[in-house]
Amino acid sequence: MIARWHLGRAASGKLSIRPFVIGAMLATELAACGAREPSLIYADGVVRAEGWSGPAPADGWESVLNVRADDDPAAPAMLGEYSESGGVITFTPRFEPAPGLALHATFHVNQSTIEATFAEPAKAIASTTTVAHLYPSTDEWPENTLKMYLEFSAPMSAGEAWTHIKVVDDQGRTIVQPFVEIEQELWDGSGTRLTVLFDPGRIKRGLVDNRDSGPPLIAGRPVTIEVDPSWRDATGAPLAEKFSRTIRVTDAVRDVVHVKRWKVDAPRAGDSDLVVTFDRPLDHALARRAISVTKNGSLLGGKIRVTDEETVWRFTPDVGWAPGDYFIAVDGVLEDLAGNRPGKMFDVDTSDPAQSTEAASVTAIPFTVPGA
Amino acid sequence: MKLRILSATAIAGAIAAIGLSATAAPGAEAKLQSAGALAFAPGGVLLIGDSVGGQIVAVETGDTAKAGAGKVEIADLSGKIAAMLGTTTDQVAVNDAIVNPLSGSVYISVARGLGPEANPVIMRADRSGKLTEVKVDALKRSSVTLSDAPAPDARNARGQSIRQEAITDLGFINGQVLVAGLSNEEFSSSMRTFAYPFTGGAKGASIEMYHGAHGQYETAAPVRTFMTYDVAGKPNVLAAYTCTPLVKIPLEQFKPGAKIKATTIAELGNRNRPLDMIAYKKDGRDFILMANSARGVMKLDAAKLETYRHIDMPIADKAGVPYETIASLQGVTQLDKVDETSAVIVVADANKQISLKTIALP
Repeated sequence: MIARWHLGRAASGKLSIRPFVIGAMLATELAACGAREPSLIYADGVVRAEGWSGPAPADGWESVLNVRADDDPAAPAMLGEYSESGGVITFTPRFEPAPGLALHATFHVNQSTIEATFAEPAKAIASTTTVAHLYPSTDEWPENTLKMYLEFSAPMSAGEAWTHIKVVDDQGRTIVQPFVEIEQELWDGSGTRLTVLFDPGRIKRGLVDNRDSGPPLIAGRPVTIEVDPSWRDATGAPLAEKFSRTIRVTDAVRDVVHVKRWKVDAPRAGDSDLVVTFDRPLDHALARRAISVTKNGSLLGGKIRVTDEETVWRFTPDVGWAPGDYFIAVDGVLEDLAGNRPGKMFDVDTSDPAQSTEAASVTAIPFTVPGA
Repeated sequence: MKLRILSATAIAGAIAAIGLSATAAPGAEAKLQSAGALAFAPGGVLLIGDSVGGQIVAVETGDTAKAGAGKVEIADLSGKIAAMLGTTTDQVAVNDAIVNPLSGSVYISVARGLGPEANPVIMRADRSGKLTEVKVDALKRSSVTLSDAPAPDARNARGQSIRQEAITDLGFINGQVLVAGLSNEEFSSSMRTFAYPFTGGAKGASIEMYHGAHGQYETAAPVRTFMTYDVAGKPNVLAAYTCTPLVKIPLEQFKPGAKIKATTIAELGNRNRPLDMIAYKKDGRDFILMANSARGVMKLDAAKLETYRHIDMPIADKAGVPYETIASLQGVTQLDKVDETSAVIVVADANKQISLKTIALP
């Protein structure tokens, strides 16, 4: 771990800088000059100050051994744990120092002060991460599209989304604030999928933002979604390339999801897929999560794929189909691209009693796998 | 194949719970996976919103004695925290800062790192501005799982992707922890309440928030920030939605399964997001101070909030509770009250350098 080593004797007023390459050399030299020679070593992720004698200092070990991540002597000390054994004070940083970060250690011992700086070169970072997919997959988005998902090929850094995603209109103008810029950013646990909400204030009818700024997407006016390659992944490397995709914007979808209009191709006995064709493209994540298969009240294990631009749902059971009766269970949280749900529109016109419905909590579609 | 659809009630029992777990147990060994929104419960109990872990962690800080009266000032807060955590300023995110009402110390939630492996850290600044780490793992704590936010790396039996809930704000009133959140999948607006101390098996009550938008449209409305506030002597939740209207909801309406259509008492202007708010009294008058993403810090006249009628007409720009913008406060992202005359703010300067400051309440 030792790459560079500066040793100074502040008390004597002389500063000597002696570069060492590896800890083994240092240990050899120290053995040669005697064990009591005060010294500072950084190896295996800990700072060791050797040559302490006498009782523990009244103000704690941090009063004699100070380790900073900043060369400003006024900077706060790094957090970490101290211990002492046989005249060696060991400082274990609270977190492994970031790659390339220089550590500055000061050791007050025997009426003198020795200082050391330990640094290793920053790791080279390579731009390899890309935007792997943008959902919705279809190139036709309704103008009241509520959200999109950006999937990256590797985990990303949080906190940079809103300066790196743009929606550009067909005149090359950037649409101002089309998204709800939530500081927390809606990442999944792996840091590879970001949920981006179009500003509901501009989609919902009757709101100031909708009237003044208009919807971010307007039917008949193509837009291009652009992702700036300076967006950093979790390693700190920028994206390997810019991403852009042009979308045709179609009329708003203001209708509930009609589960009754879905087409169900029940499997024949055996290992063929159960295939459901939706009445429209649905939200990618929810189509995967909110639809399941049950038999006798239990969930059936299997593999789900959402294909054909999120219009087809395919289920392959872990174990081949047994003849009998099954249900496809559709959770009421399912949404289409505009946030409409089974039985419930995204923005309900309260003056129309037909719209003031409750979303179905669960809709069940029965099907039968025939016997051989 | 012609579809036959059964209603949920007709097939009750035919379908097992689909996908969403509903567990909640006091987690004495709770491991913090991220640290976001913060709030204090009585007795120096720090509530930490952990979006990645899908939980609220309550930590008994033991920090209950008044700790001086200095005005805490920390310039380059991120830089100092980065130095203490052995990293660079650009790898530190300051997520929330609140004042412990008992001690006056400021608690700060931090992410060390920006990727999914970032380490959560809670820092405490005493009144002299000295920063120390609050070692959550060494303190007595309990936790409650958000009912439908499983562990981050969890894949259910079918290998499906897992939703997460970004916790946008936390509060505590009358023995209840209030949690506002926003899902990364369905567009829902849930506020949950949990009795504290957390009890095993207790499921948080989920409340759906609707925005009865001007005129005739009604949609789910995620809450960005909220606080509890007495309106005409009754506890209310004052909440700001992601698209700025300020609403009030009597606390008594927060019942499990309730669907709440709140009363919009102010429209504070478009292209703006509310970030944080506090209430205070000055010269015998009630005010609310609200930090915003685009419209600066607003000082609202909070007198007689009960007299504002629901704004149900489209309005040109702003309406309802009157406010003035405090020009001297720029770049404020967090606010919390120290006492009736001063507040702590987190403020970013033009170079995005973040500082912690104490201000006199305007």
